[in-house]
Amino acid sequence: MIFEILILLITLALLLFLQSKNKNSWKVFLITAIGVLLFEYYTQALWFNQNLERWAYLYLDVSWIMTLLWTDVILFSIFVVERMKPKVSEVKKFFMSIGIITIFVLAIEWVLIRTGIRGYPKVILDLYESLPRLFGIVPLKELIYVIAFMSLVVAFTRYWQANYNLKFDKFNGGRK
Amino acid sequence: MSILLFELLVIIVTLGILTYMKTSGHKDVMKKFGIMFIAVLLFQIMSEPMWINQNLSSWAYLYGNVSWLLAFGWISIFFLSFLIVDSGFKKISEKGKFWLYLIVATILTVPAEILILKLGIRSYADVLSQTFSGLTIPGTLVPIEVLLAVPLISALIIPFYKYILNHWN
Repeated sequence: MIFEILILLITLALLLFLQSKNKNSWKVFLITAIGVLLFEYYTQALWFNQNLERWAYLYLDVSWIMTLLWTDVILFSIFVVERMKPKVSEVKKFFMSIGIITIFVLAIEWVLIRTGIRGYPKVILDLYESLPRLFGIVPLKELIYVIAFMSLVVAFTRYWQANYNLKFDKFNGGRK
Repeated sequence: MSILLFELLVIIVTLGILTYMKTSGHKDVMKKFGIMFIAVLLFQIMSEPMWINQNLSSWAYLYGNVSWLLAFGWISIFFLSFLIVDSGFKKISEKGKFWLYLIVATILTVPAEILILKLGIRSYADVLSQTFSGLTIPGTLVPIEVLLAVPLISALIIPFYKYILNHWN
């Protein structure tokens, strides 16, 4: 219960903060959440979201709380890159976002596994062990999966942002 | 023998589509091909544990279960969808075309999936088949879930391709 409430509070705080900086924030958040949900639905066989409250699930073990969590990470990372490096090219921003997101995701996955929220089928665990671990901690295979997953979702967000002309590169109180 | 014919067919169809695009005035065809290859590969890497691509010639695999030949097949399906929608629905906005791409890609994928199931190239891993309802597309061995999975996959691959293509100078 604490985890679910924490995610709801973080989401609310992030949305209020970003909305005060850029009026398109909640729309970009919604697009990102749809992208995350599409991927979660498609890859639901590859992991378990377990031990969450019953109301936190949308369908089988697809959880909207987890959708919010990954959406927060993606949107915050995009915001950080837009804020810190507003003048670099779009492709560089894309790769920088993926880099930041990957660090966040690996740290969060570490916590989720140890709190029993995230589990994997045996076939996935075997795959993770089929390649070495980076620094003896992070399975290289997981790192590859995270980068692949996030590349598709971030591109989904950017594509629909452009289609709906939702600019998310200027922020109130930002650098001149 | 039929597997080898399938492999040759995929290569010929892919080359045919690329040649058609080049001769009909499409720009940066190889760049488009490269970006789409990366998009499809990302999806294949991500979904690798969900299915088994077997019985192809050894040269058709990149590593493990991931086949560049099947990636070529996906690229052909997506490029064919773009060609059909872009030429048939010129006045529709990009947003409108996106939904048509999903529909056309799904229509093209079903016969391809029937073929690779029949040839024994495709089978589904236990982690995936356990989530199937058991229903198939009438008259085929293709799980009904494919009708949902293809638009889902396409809804992520097509934006990646279009986004990178628009910004990669």
